[in-house]
Amino acid sequence: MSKEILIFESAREVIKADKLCKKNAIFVTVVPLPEEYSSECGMGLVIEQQNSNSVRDLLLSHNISVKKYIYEQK
Amino acid sequence: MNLYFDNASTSFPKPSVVAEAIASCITNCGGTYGRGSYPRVLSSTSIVEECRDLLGELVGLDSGDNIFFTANATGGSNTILKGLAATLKDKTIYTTALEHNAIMRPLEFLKEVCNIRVKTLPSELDGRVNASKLDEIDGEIELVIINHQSNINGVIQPLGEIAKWARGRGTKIMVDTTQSLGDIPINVAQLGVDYFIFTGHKGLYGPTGIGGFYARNPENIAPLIHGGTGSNSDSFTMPVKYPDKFEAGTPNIIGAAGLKAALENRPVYHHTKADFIELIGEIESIPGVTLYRSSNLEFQGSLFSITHSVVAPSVISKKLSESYNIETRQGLHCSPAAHKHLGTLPTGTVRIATSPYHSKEDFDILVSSLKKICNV
Repeated sequence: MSKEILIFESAREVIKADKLCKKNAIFVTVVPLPEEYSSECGMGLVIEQQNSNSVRDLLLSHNISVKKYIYEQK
Repeated sequence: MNLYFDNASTSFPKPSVVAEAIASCITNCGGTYGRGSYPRVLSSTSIVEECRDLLGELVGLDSGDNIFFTANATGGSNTILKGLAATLKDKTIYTTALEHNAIMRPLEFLKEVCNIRVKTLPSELDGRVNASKLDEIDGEIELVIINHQSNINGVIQPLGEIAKWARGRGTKIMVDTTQSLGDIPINVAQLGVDYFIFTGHKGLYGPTGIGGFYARNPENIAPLIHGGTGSNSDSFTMPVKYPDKFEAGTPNIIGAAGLKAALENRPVYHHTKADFIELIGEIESIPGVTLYRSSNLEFQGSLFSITHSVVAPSVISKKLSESYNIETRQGLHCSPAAHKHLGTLPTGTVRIATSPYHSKEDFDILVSSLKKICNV
């Protein structure tokens, strides 16, 4: 299944996004950020690609900015 | 029995859940903030962020997005004032007559490095700002700083009127809530406050070592501390994103755990407002005692100070402790500006700072002990 990795500007944004997605019954996983995508040493979120649009809308409506969406085909 | 009357220095006791949360954080939680992604990190990071949001909620904000943690309120005042140094150059700042050195010392520093002018708002004898005279102030004012509740006489400033006046003339307003937050309601959003500083270990009943500040427009403030944040790690410059911009280094996660528990479990009052006013009246009636408070008890916070015509503050405080196990703080309480205004330099006062955990019986013990000490 295709996935997207969401990279945020800060850990606070990750926590906010994680909680918001879970509150809205969207499956998310907190993961270490792959070094090829980010210089962060923190965390990112993985979502199923099919949820991409709804997650984008949800985060946007709560002013949670995502630095980068990385598409990963499995 | 609770004979600890130094709650303006730090509150004691704390709600029992504070110690439990701190112990649980150390024992069970572990993990750092925002670096890595294993469950312990997620737990620790969540604790800090939930604490931040609870603080936002407490002051009427939609979230804690613009609240930043430092070690204490002084860390907050230094970050704001020094971080604004470039924009404050040659500008005029007004304060109340009752400011603490957490404000006065950074301002003194800024006088030297960026030539600010510091003036005092028109005040009554008790140090409360005379709001009816604010419109008489001429000239441009960049910033007005208000000590919401004095740590010397407990005077509560007319924040609403001052904020309205400041907003009307385009002046930014900064509030020191060190003694008031948790004790006196404040709605930052409604007031239009630009900055406030706070500490976790006084009226919020959290642990020491955690405080911070709020900034409506944090982009104007340069960070005071530079270092690792777990974000933008390939860069030598600080991230521009909040809260990372102001929170280099590992934060006080344990402190956030304790403060979060305190915010979720506010103490219940063991005395009434009438009991407190009676306490003031009883102490004021002791011969030789001068009590420093708001001239209008409607604007009185939970602390006040006393002096005696014969017995020095240090002697009163020592006798209270040694003879009656009553803990108070004497001296200048890091607020020489306030003592200058109140005429209590150089010896200062004995401060009586109550907490919700005091009962009427505790007040009665304090009064009878003071009567014996002052009966000279």
